[in-house]
Amino acid sequence: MPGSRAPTLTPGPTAGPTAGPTASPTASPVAGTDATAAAVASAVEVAARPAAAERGRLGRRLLRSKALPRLISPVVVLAGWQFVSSADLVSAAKLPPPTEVWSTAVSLATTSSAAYGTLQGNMVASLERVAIGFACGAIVALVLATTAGLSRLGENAVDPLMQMLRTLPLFGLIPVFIVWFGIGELPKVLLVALGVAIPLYLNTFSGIRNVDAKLAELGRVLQLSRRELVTQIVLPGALPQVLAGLRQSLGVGWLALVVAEQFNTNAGLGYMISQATQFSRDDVIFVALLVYCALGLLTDALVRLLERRALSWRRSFVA
Amino acid sequence: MAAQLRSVTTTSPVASVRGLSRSFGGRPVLDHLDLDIAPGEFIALIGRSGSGKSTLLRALAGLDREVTGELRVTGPTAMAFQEPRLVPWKRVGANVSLGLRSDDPKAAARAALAEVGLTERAGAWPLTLSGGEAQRASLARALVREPRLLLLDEPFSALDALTRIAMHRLVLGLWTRHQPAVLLVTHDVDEALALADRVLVLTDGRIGYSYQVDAPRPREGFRNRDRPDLMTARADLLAELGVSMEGTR
Repeated sequence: MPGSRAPTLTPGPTAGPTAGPTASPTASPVAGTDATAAAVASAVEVAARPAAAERGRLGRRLLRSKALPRLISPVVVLAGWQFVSSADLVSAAKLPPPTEVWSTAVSLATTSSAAYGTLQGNMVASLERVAIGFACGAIVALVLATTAGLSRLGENAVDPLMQMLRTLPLFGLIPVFIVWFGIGELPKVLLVALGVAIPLYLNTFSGIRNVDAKLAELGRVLQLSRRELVTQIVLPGALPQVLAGLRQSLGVGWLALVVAEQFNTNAGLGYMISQATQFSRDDVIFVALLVYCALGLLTDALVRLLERRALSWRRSFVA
Repeated sequence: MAAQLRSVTTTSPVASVRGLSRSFGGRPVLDHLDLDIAPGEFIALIGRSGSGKSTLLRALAGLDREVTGELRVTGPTAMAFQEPRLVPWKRVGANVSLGLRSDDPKAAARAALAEVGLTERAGAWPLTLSGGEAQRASLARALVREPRLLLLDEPFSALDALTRIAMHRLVLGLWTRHQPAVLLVTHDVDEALALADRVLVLTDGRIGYSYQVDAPRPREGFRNRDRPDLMTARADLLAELGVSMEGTR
């Protein structure tokens, strides 16, 4: 391994020296710019030293990807947390240090305890509730919003009810749901579904109604059929807002789950939390909260990926 | 060329308008307007802003259902707008073939794009096009429908001077090849005189003035050449629009 290869592997916040003037680490987060810079830089590389280029490209991609700079602040917070614990500024009973949370997580994952079950088992139970609730809520919301968005009759039938539902405090419904649907899975899934449906409905409805009137007029000039107008102009035009609504509703869905799971459950992350509360196990509570956090980020990343694919025509993704 | 096309004006018009009226909030914008557009005729319609040029165009395109009077348009009509109005989530080729009812819409779109010099941009997203390219794509989308009447609503007004000259040539070339009747709304007298067979001035809701342009094409840049006839017409048209030419030139 020749020593002259080193510069391309140098980590750190500044770009590698071979990157040239086009590659600024503080450049806009637009993917295209990065890709172009990387391509230019790696083209130079390949000519010079193919093997080093492969490795250099990977390093550079990591450096310039959007993900890495975003990791900095969470890492700083984590370090601060560990420092506060190690320096005994806060008692471990109130705020367990990250190391303890980690070892608790590992033991929860590797051994099944009578009080909590396994971490994975609880994760699967929670994910299942969110997935079912989300799917039901999203389907209902999309159907209702399209009905209301595309016809005046539909709007009059659906929108007033949805506007009423939206003002209802979601968690105020828990007692009612328990009375109506018992204490099984149904009220929990329904709570998630309702939490998901409201923001998705509102965004989809307004997305449909806010489609550029000039494009609708264009549709008339081009003599599009009603079906063509809806599928080619209206729905694709509403998509950006639908996806924004999707991200919002996933957030609400997880939130609803946390609350729903703390009542009358025997599995799930919320169940872990309520058990841990009884045993005053803050470390377990933190594990559950961090897992919620990670799962929330994961589902959000999935929607963002979807956004990237579906909205590739937008200037921010194109440029 | 102009003379040859004008010889067909005796046949039945592509569009015929009688007593067309339209008011907005009690203010009449079109007031019993009469107009005939012959097949293949290139008409430029000028007028001060708010004079109803676009209202007339929209009525002919069937976009305004609150006009009163008689309006007859025969054959397919196509329209290009001031902003190109490309559907941003459809690639350029798909924009051109959007809503096209023919055996092979994709091939037709390719041919139309080739004609406006955009072959290599067929797969591009509209938001990546320059203003001139977008307007050419919009023209291709109108042309691919093989209209007998092509309505152009100030399609060049947002373009820079050089692009605009190129667009004028392109439009004249397309018109010569496909021979649709053209109604071009513009606020630019020079543009009207450079392109049209007939320049109409819309005043008080009617065609207040009509000028038959007999000078042969190309007429682009006539102000710098020795074209006294067009310069006189220009002064007359500007006077009709309420702009005095005294002390200029």
